[in-house]
Amino acid sequence: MSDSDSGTNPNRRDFIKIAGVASAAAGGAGLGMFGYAAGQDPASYLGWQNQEGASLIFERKHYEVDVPTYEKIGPTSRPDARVENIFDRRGSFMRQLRSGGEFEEPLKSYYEKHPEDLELDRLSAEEIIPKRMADEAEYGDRFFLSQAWSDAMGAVGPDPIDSPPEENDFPRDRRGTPIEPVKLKGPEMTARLIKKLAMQFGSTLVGITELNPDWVYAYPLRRRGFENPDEPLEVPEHWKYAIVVGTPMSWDPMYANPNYGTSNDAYSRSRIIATRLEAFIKALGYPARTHIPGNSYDLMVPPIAIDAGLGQQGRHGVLITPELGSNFRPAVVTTNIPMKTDRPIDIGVEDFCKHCKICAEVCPSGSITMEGKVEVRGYRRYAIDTAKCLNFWMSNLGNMGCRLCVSACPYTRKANWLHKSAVRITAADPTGLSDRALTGLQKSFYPGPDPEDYYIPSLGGDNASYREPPWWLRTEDFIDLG
Amino acid sequence: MNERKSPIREQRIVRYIVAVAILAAALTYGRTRAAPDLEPLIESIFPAAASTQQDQNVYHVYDTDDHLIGWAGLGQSGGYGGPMSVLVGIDATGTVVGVRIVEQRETPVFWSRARVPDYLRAITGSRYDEVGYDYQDIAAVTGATLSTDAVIESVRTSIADVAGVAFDVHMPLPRKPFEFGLLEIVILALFAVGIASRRLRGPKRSRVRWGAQITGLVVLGFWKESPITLTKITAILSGYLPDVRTSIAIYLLLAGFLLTTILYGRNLYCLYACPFGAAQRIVGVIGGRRLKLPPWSVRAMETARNVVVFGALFAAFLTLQPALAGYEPFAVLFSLRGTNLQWLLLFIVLVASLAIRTPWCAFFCPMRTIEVVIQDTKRWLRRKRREAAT
Amino acid sequence: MRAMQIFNSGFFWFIEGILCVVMILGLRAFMRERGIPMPAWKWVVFGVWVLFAGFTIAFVGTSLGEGEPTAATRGGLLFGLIAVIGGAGAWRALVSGRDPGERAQVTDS
Repeated sequence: MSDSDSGTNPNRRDFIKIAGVASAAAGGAGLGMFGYAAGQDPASYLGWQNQEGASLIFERKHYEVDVPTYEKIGPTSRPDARVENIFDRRGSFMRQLRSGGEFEEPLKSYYEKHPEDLELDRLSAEEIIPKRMADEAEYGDRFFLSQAWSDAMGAVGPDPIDSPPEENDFPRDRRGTPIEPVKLKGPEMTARLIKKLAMQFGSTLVGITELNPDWVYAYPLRRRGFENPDEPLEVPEHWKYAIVVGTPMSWDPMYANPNYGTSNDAYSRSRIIATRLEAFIKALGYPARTHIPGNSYDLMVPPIAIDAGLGQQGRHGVLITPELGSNFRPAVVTTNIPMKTDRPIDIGVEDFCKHCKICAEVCPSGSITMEGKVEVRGYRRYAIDTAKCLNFWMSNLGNMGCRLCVSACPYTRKANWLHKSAVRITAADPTGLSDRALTGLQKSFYPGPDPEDYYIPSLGGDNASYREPPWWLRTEDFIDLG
Repeated sequence: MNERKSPIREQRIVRYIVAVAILAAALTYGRTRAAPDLEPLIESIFPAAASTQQDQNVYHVYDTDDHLIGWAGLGQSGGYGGPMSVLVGIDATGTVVGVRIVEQRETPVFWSRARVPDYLRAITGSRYDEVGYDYQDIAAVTGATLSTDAVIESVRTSIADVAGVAFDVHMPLPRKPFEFGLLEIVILALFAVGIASRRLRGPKRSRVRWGAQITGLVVLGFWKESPITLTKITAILSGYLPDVRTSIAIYLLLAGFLLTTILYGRNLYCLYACPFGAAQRIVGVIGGRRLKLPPWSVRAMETARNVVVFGALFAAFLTLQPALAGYEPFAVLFSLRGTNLQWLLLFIVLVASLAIRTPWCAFFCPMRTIEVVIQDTKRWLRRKRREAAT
Repeated sequence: MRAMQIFNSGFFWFIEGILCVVMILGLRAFMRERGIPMPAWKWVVFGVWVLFAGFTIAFVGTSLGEGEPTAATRGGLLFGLIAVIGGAGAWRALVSGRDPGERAQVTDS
């Protein structure tokens, strides 16, 4: 370009100036349109649709670390599912309450040690559920469509395993003879194959780790096929590896928690993926066993997902992944097929959760602590009051559960340039300044109802949702409620 | 500005007197109307309650057979935007059977973030002399410290009152220590600097003022977020005095504002301490603030400001809700909290600061209205004195 | 909806690039006409401002697109405020250093 031209020809110079202003305006407008398109982009609804690896949008390699991001501080022990798994405990409580109210072991000594939990379990049965039933009759209609949708989502899926590892896990042909394992060309190739297959089965994320026995229940859950649930669970030798798979819940209903979202949506998909993976591994002649949601596990899933490099644990006890935030519902397959394992990652969740506390502020039941971590079975973690949490579930109309901590978590944002940049910034910034700034922005830009508003009317609230439900879940628009 | 230079007219003083009279009437009306109806609250704690008998802050509760079934104690303490009243029900065995918030005049945003209901639930069921006042859990919520303090104070006083009346037990209330910290020292220092620099001239004075204002911006703004606000003034005027021991800062600021306005004619709070003034000045330096507004528009906007301040005070007094008066966008700037309207106001004011000299102070700030009223009154009194002398 | 996908494409960024270049040429012509020197630091200031202003617009667009009107409003006001104040400062910096005598002589530099 000749500069003297633009210098000597005033007309041309004027033209360039005007073109510059016009370009600035057009460029700005274009960016606005780009933003709008990005905000609505179907691809930002990262989930089961984006299968076969398209969902892996985060460069995990940069953030890999040698040790998992939880802190081990003392001698560890394994959890007793019969009392520490809230669903199992509440189930036993209800059964034993109905048959007279004399508590058997291990419930009896657990309640002696934790009278506050007995109080909360009782509160649920005696006050909360009756109140919910009364409110359901009066205010429940609004959630008819979301409940129908949730039931439909949960209608498909394999039956949970109901036989012990030595029976269930080992592959057999149709006549019942054991299948010989195939010869594999090396752990790296196997890991690659398994991950591709998991993606192909519909998993959004997948990670592989050696199974740390600390995460396996000391006493198993009922209904996992163990003959005597009061007998300690020995970790079988063939549970060498754990493959973690899973999908997010549909985004729009998920933001309309606690009433409109449903766990069924992701549960059913994760169940199918894990069960297919079990079948695939067995077809190769290796033992495999699924541990799937709702409550059919022999182990705790979030720490295994951390080991497998999928994310870190947040203040709310939920796994936080860089791609999906807290919106990830995992399942696990235990096996001994030799595979190369993944390394854990550190994307700065530990520091972020120290300042943020949004989940704790939002939680209607006050189950999430504002305080620092405590020791649980030899590890440091944030305390979660699972009994209070479940009590809110029990009080809530609409779909079973609550999931508000998932919806309100700043990491739980759709996969577009804006939110994924924020994740990258906090992950890269060691000073903590970005954590504070982003937390402040999150609180003022994305406000939700007050915690008390989520309660049912008879508890002083108005059945609020974090966000408005999508159009297709608004019962009143489709069904004449009379 | 022209407010200062125009000759003071009787008419204006008369207007002030009328305005103050109307506000006083609104406040009186608000206070008579505001006495809360406790009956339904007592019934919600004691479903069997049929009648009550008041003994100062303690209500004896009787059932239909006129048996005493318990007591309800009314406790009060100062919250952020006014008092916090709590009704604590204690049954005949001395067990806390229910706690209810009676008056709640906090700004909704502050209130909702506090885990107050949790605390109230937690103490329900305890014996009156075993109630915990350890509020670590709830005070840890950001921005809610004062509100939760107020709740706990109210619970404590009402339980102490019931204990005295019902069980003849004296429960001494802990004396809170004076909280005199860096914030208070900085406030005193800023006024001291302001007074001292009255002797300075030219660039030296300007440099000192810049130093003071930036200190104010950091300490009174971003760090402690404690500028004078119309909410705080309204609370005090309504008789909801914040605890002197824990809220020295607001008293220091107001005393400094009033004294320097009366003594020097120009208040040193706005010139040396106000964090929002500092923010506008910084923006002004960036923008060059070259726009000169025509005098008529300045007059019109000043009048509009006075009307807004009057309206805000009127509404707050009438409803006895000091938080209603706070229209300032300070919290948006210092901690990103506020209504959408306050966000918009902040945007407009700071963009205007680029071209106009401190537009908030001139056209929006209630402190300016108060300052002008004091200045005018002072000049009018002086003139009267002079006229009387001649 | 499908039409909006153009804004997620590489072609869109190609157009944005062209517009950017034209904008830079326009600014250069303007500055030359006025005889205001444009050293490298001024281009950096200009670039940073353009990026920030662009971010603000894209933020508002994205927030509207994902159905977060509060974020769009408050983000637009907050980032917009920073962009406007920063823009005013940047503009004063850009037009600084002007030599009134040089106005007519525009030379290669």
